[in-house]
Amino acid sequence: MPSSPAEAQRVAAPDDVPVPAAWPAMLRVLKRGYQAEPRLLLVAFGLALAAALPDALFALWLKLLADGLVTGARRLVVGAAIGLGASAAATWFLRVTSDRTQRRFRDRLTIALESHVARLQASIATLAHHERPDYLDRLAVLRNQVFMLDHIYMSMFSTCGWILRLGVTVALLASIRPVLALLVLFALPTVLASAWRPGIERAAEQRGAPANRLARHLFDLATTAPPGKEVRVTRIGDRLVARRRAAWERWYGPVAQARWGSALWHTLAWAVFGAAYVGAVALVAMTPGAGVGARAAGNVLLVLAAGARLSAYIGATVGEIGFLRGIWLDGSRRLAWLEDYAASLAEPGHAASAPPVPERLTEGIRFEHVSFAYPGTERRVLDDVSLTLPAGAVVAVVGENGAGKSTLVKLLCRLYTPSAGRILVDGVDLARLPADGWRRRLAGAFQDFFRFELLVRQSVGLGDLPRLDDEPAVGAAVLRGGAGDVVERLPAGLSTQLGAAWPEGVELSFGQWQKLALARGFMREAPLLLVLDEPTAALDAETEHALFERFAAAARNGGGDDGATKGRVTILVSHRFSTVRMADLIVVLDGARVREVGTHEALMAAGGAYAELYGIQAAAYR
Amino acid sequence: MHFERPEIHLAPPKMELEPFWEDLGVLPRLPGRAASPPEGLPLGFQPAGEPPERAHRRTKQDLCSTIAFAPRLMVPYPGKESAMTNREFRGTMIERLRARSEWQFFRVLPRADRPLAVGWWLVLAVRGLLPALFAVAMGLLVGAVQRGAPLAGPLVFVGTVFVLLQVLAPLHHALGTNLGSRTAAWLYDQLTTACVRPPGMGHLENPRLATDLSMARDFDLGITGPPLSIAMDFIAAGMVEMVGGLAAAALLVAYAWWAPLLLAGAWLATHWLLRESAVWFDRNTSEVREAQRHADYAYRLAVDAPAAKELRLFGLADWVVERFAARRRRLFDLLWEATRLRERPVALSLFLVLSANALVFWALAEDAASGRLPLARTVTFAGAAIAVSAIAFGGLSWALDGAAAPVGAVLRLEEAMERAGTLAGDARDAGDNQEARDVQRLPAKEIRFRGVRFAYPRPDETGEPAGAPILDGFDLTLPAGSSLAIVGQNGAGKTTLAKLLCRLYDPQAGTIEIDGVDLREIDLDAWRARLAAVFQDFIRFELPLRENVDPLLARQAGDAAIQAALREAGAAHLAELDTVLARGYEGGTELSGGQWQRVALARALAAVQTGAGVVLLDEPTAQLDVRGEAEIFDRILAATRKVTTILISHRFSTVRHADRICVLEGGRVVELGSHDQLMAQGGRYREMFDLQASRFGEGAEEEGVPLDAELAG
Repeated sequence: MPSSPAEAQRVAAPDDVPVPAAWPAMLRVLKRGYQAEPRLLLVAFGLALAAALPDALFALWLKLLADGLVTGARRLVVGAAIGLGASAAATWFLRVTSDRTQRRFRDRLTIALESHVARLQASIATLAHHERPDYLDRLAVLRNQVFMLDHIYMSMFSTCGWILRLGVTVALLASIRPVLALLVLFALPTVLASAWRPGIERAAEQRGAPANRLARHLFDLATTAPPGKEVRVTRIGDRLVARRRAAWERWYGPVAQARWGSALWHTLAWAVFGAAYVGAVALVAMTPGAGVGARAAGNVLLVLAAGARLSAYIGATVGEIGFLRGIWLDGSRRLAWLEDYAASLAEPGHAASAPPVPERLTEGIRFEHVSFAYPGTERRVLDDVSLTLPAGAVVAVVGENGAGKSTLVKLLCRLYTPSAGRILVDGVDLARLPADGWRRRLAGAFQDFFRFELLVRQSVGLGDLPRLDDEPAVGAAVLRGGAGDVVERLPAGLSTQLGAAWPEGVELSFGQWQKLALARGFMREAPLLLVLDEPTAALDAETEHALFERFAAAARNGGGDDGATKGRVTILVSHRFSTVRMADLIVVLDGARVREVGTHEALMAAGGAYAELYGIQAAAYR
Repeated sequence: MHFERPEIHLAPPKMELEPFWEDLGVLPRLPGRAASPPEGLPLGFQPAGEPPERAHRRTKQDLCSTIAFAPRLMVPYPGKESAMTNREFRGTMIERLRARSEWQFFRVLPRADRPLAVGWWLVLAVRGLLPALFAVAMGLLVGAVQRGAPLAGPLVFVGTVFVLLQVLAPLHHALGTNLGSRTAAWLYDQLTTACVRPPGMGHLENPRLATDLSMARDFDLGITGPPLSIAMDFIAAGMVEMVGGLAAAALLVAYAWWAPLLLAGAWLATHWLLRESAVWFDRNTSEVREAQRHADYAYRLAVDAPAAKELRLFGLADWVVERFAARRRRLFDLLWEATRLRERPVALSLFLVLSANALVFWALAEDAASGRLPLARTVTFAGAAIAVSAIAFGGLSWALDGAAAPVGAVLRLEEAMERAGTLAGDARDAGDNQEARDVQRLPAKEIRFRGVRFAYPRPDETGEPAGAPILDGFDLTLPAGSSLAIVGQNGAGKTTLAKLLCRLYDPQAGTIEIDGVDLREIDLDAWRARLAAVFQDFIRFELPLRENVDPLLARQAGDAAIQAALREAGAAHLAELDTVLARGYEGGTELSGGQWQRVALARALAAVQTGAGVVLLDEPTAQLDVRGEAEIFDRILAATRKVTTILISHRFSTVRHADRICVLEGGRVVELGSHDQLMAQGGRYREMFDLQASRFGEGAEEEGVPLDAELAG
C-alpha cells in the first residue's frame, strides 16, 4: 500500500530533466524560427550577407587606385575612385535596409516565441516551476526576456556577415603574399582576451553580489513609502545613506579592480596584433623586387587598409560570438529545457489507459499514506497522511502555520503529485486521472487569489471558461460568491473594467477583490470538489461573518437533493475556529501529520489539540 | 481605571452597520484626480497613465534590439515618455529642461568622479582624431614607398596610430564602465539622501512624483535600459564615430573647401531624412499604449506565479496565450506602420549620398590622374573621404536618452521631494519650533488630540487635502502611562492616528498636544526618539539580528539588552545576533512571518528600554497563530506597563486587555471605556464583540463544556 518504487520514480522524473547541450538547443530554437517566418528569415539573412561585401572591398579599391596612379592608367584611377564612393554609399544603404528587415523579422518572431513560451509555462501541469528556486532562476530569463531569444538570429546573421568580411579580407591579403594570411593568428590573443574578459568581470560581480543586494535593500528601505514610516520614527535615515554607500563600495572595489585588470590584458593583446600589423606592412613595403615602386605602393596600401579592417572584423566577430555564447545560447538552452520539462510532465496521451473522471462522487476521496516534500527539498510537508473525505461532506482543515494545509489542497488540485502514497478518487488513483479533466470538475478560491484585471464579467466568468461571457451564469455566480453588492456599485456593472491602470478602470478594495474571486470560484455549477483555502482571511469580523453564512449555505446546497451536485466534497481551510466548527468533519494537521479527525463535538469531547486551540480562541471572548 | 467619556460626543453612536466599502470606496482613476485612500495610500496606487513597470518592460525590448548591433531604430526612453504623458501638467518649462537633460548628464559625470570623467573625455577625443591621423599616416607611408624614401619614420607613425586605435578601445571601455558605475552610485546617493531627509512622507507617496521616482529608483537595474556602466560604452561609441567623421571631414578641407561640406552634409542629411523611421514618434498614442499593456498583461498572466494556481484550476492556458498573441500582433503592426522605411526619404538619402561621394571621388581621381595631386595626398584624402561616412553611423547614442532621463529625474526630484516632504506645520510657522524643549520625559501627563481633522494630501504640489477627511473633529485624551486600544472597521482611520502621533503628517485642523504643548512646536527628532512603533508593514532588515532589534546600534549596554528584548518578545534563541536575517547572505537565515513579528516587537521593546515613552502597536500579532498570539500578548502588556501604549487590532480577544478601548467610526471616537464598561454600555463595541464571540459561545454552551476548564486542562 505505501508507494511503489515505480511511483516514486515517476514523481522524481522532473528533477532529472537535464538542461540540454548548447548547440542542439540552439538548432531547435533556430528551427522554430524558420517554421514561424521562413520567407522573412531568408530575406533578412541574404541582406545581412550582401551588406558585408561593399564594406570588405574598400581595401581593393584603394589598391587599384594606387596602381592606376602609379602606372598612369587614368580609367583605372577614375573607376577605383568611383568604386570607393559607391562602396561607401552601398555600405550605408544595405545596412539600413538590412536592419529594417531584421527588425520586421524579429517582431514577428517575438510573437511566435513569446506565445510558445507562454503556452509552455501556462500549461505545465504542476506548479514546481513557479515555486522551486532553481527552476525559477532557470526560467527568469524566459519569463521576462523572451525577446532575447530572437536575438539569436540577429547574432547569427551578424556573425555570418563578419565572417564573410573576414574571409574576403584574408583572401585579399593572401593575394599579395600568402604568408600575410597568418596575420589572423596574431589576432588570437585578442580573441582570447575578449572571451575571458566578461567572465572575469562577471565573476567579480558575482562575488560581490551579497554586498550589492544589501545596498539595494537599504536603498529600497530609504526610497519607498511603506518602510518610510519606520525609517523616520527610528531616525535611521542618515545611517541608511551611509550604510548603502559602504555596501556598494564593498561591491565596487573588487569589481573595478577586475575591470582594470582585464582591460590591461586586452590592451596588451591588441598591442601584439598591432606589432604584427606593422611587421606585415614593413614586410610588404621593404621587400625588394616585385616590381619595385610601381606595384609596391598599391600592395602596401592594400595591406594597410585590409589589415586595419581585419582587426575591426576580428573584434566584431569575436564580440558577436561572445554574445552568442553568453546570452543567446544560454537563452536557447533554457527554452529547450522548458520544452523538455513540459514534455516530461505531459499526459502520456489521453489514451485508453487513463480512467475517466467520475460523473459524481459516490465514495469520496481517500488519502493513503500520502507524503510530500516539495521537489528539490528534503523536508516532508506532509508525512504519511491517511484520511477519508466522504462524498457530500464539508471538511475543515485546521492547523498552525506551516502544518501543511495549503499543500494538502494543492495535492487535491493535482498541482503536485504526492512523493509517496496515493490519493484515491472513488477508488481510482488521482495521479492516473487526466489533470485537465480532473480540474474541470474543481472549483474554489484561494487566499492568494489573483486579481484578474479584465471586465468584471470576464474576471468572474473565467471560473468556467465556456461561459466566459454568459451574463446570466456570471450573475448567478456573483450572487453565490456574495459579490452582488460589489457589482451593484460599479459604474458599468458587469461590464466595468477592473484595475486602476486601465482606461476607465476601477480599483477595488481587497475585500471586494476577494468577493469576486469567490464568485469566480462558484462559476462551475457541478464541481466534484470545492476548495476554499482561507478565502476570507483579511476581512473584518462583520464582513467575514456574513460571508461564512453564505459559504455554509453554498456548501450544503452541494450536498442537497439536486442530482448533479450530489456527492460534492467541500474543503475549507481556516484559522478561525468559529468557522471551522460548522464543518461535518474537522481535520487537525500538526507538524505534517494528521493529529485528529472528527466532528466538532467529538473533538471537543476528546479534549485534544483541537479542543485546546478552540479553547484559547474562545476564552478570549468569555 | 475610571471611565472617561469622550470630550465631545455630539453624534450619537451609529447603530446601523455601514458597509465598509463606503470608506474604502471604488476608486475611479481619472487623470489629475486621485481618490482619497482611507488609511495611507493603497498598495496599488499609481499615477494616471502607464504603470512604470509596464513601461519598463516595453523598453527592455527596445534595448535588446539595439544591443544586437543594430542601433538604428531609436525608441524614446521612458523618461522621455513620462515627460510627454505629463506634458499637460508641466508645460513648456519641462520641455526646456528636457532639452538640456543630455547636458545635465555630462555635467554629472565629473561630480561623480572627476579623474575618471576627465580620462573618459580625453580618450574619447583622441579616439575621434585617430581615423583622420591614420589617413595621413597611410598617405605618408605610401608616398615614401613610391619615392623609395626611408620607411622607418612613416612606419613608426603608422604603427603608433594603429596601435593606439586598437588599445584605446579597451581602455576607454574600462574607463566608461567604472565611470558609469560610480555615476550610478552617486545618483543613488543623491536620491537616497533626498528620500530620507524630509521629515514628512508626502514626497514618497505623491503620485505626481512617482513617475520620476520609480524611474530614478530603477534606472540602473538593467530593466529600462542598459545599466550606466554599459550605457557609457554605447554613448562613447556613437560619439567616437561622430567625432571621427567630423575630424576626417576637417582633414578634407586641405583638399578643397567644398569637399567636406558636400560629404559631411550628405551624411548628416541621412539622419534628418530618416528621422521618422528611426524614432517611433507617435508611439505614445493611447492606441499603442493600450495594445502594449494588453499584450504585457496577458503575458504576465501566462508566465507569472500569482495567477498560476487559478490558471490551472480553471484551465485558462490557451485562452491567455491566444489573447496575448492577438494583442502583441496588433502592437507590432502599429509599430511597423509608424516606423516603416518610407521609400522616398530612403531614395532621396541614397541619391544624396551617392552623388556627394561620386563627386568628391571623381574630382579626387581627376586631380590625381592629371598629376595635380601626388599619390601620398590622394591616398590621405581618399581615406579621409571614406572615414567621413562614420557620421551616418555616429551621433548621440540611443543609450544617452536612457542614461540622461534618470539624471534629470534625480535632479528634479531633489528639489520636488524637499518641498513635498515638508510637514504642513513647519511650512506654516517656520522658525517657531527651534526652541528645543526638554522632551526627554514627555509625555508626563497626557497626549491629547483636540478637534483634529485630517485628510491625506492631494497628490499634487499644492498639498491640499483631498476628499473626505479620515479624521474629523477628533478628540481623545490618553493619560500617560496607560494603554489604549483602538478598534474600528477597515478604513476608520486607526493607522492614520498612529501616523499623526509620529508626526509623519500634520493635521489640517486642530492640534495634538503633549502635556499641553503643540506637537508641532516640539523638536521633531527628539520627539521621535520618544516613540517606538510596530507598524503592520514593519521593516525586515536584511541585516544581522542585532541590528534588526537595535537599528541605530545605540545600546551601549550592547548585546545583553538586545537579548533581553528578544526574550521578552518570545524570540530568544531565534538566531545568533550576528546572523543575517535573509537568505542570500553568508550564514543568512530566513524567518517565518510569525518569527519576524516577534523580532519587530523586540525592536519596540528594546526602544522602550532605552527611553521610548510611547509605544504604537499596529496589528502586532496579525501574523501569529492562535497560540502565539495569546502567549505574546501578555508579555507585551507586561513589558510596556509603565509607558503609554496604543494598540490597534481587529481581534477583540487582544483588545480587551487594554486599560481603555476606543471605538473609531466616521472619523471620531464613538465609544471610549474599559472592556467591561463598553460591554455594559451595550453599544457598537458590544455588538462587534458579540459577533465574534457568538460563534464560539453557542456551541460550547450546548455541549456544556466549560471553556475555562478547557483552558485549564
